[in-house]
Amino acid sequence: MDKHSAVIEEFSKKFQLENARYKAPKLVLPMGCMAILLVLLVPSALVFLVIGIFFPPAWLFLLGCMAAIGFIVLLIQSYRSSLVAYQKIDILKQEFKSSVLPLICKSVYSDVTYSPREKVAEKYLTESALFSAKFFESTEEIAGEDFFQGTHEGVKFEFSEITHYVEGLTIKTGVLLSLVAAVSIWLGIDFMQIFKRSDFFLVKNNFRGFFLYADFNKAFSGEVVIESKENTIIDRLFQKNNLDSIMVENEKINALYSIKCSNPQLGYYVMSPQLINAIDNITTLIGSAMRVRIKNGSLYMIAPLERNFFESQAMINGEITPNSLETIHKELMLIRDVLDSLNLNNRIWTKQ
Amino acid sequence: MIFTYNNIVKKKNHIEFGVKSIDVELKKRYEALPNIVATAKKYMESEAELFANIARLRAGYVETGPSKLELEKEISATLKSISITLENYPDLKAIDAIVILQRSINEFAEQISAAQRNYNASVLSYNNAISVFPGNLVAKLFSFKREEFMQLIAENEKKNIDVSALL
Repeated sequence: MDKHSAVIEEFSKKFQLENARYKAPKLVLPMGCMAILLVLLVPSALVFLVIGIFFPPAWLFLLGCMAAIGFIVLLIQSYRSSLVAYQKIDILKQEFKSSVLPLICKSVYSDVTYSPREKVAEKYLTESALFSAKFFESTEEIAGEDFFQGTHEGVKFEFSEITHYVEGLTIKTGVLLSLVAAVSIWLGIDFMQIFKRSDFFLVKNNFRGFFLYADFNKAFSGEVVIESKENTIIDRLFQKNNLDSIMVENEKINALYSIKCSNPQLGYYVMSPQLINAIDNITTLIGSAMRVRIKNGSLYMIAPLERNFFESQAMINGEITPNSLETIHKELMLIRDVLDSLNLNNRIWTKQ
Repeated sequence: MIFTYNNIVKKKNHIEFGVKSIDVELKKRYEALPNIVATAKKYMESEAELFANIARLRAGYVETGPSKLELEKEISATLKSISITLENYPDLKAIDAIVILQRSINEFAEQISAAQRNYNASVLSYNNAISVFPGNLVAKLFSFKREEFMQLIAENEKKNIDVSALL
């Protein structure tokens, strides 16, 4: 971890600068006051110098000199500040994900590849059957990032963050869009090219979480679905099913989840005491209930995340705060902890 | 009352179904015993006592009756012993037949455990139904009795097994 500290340190500095830039609008008033002072300082320095040279007393001359020196110092300082090339947050984010995160990822997982802009294969999202048909009405509304793929302790897996979002017009942007369109038609000039889609359409996230596909290493036909009992708005996104319900030997799990299966004996076969404990542990680890489908030897898991993971920075109280190496490391360990809890690589249980 | 009665009867039927499911799994294991012994014997010649024990259990096998449960518990414990004893032969871990053997023993245990848990869940549901109002009145009227939970895995399997005693 130490060898990455320097890289993270460098990034932290960049983000501190970026933070200063972010806060710049708040500095307009003090900067304005300083500018006025500066404007007053120059003429007064000149006046005091002229008066001091031609009409002593000497203190007036000295005052003029000090004002002139002060002006020169401020000028040099302003020039130096302007040399600092602030990088935009988006560029820093990309730089972090393309060069820093893969480096840290390699130190945690030896056999895992990381792709910042990809998501879990769509066939796994479909196979999981966790989402309602509505969810898949428009695949454009499903975005994903931070894709990890590989093998951990002999278990093949794919993991990524996914978000489901909707785009819409507000009254204000709707009126603006209509106006721009009308003017474009009226004048025969395409003003729409000046604007970006995001200028009119606002994006609202319905769901943010992670999706995990893993090889269950147990061969069986049928399925077991572990669903959160929480009724939230995102429930509309998830598919309903008519399977048999079972109760397991863990009251906390029974209270949090409804467990459904093709037949009860299969349900108890899949929901071994170890897996029940794993579900309990993962629920505690991520701090929220999840949805799991175990079907035909594969495990699909979706769980909400309280924030965007694997990022170089976080917005805390309106301030861009660089994430520490520990934070990023902890987030990366989530995948390992989930897989370790599931303990899918039982050398006795295999599909062979 | 009709609804309550029907509900209790359905739950009782579930228990019977659970018993049959356990029987199916036990039967599968019983039929696989000769193959398990044959494979293990080939590589673990020094474990004569263990195999003699399995042969005795197989000879004394009964399809039904109160002794069946005890016998099944003993078979479970003995198969577990084979699995643990195999761990003491590191060279055997590379042999496919031994891996398959271990996998089979474990798979039988998993399937029987699942069937047993399913049965116990049915018993719990039935016992609850005849214990609470108005089910308790209907149960008394039609003489529905509480069912016992099943414990196929012997108590000694839950304890840490002294491996040296098995060698």
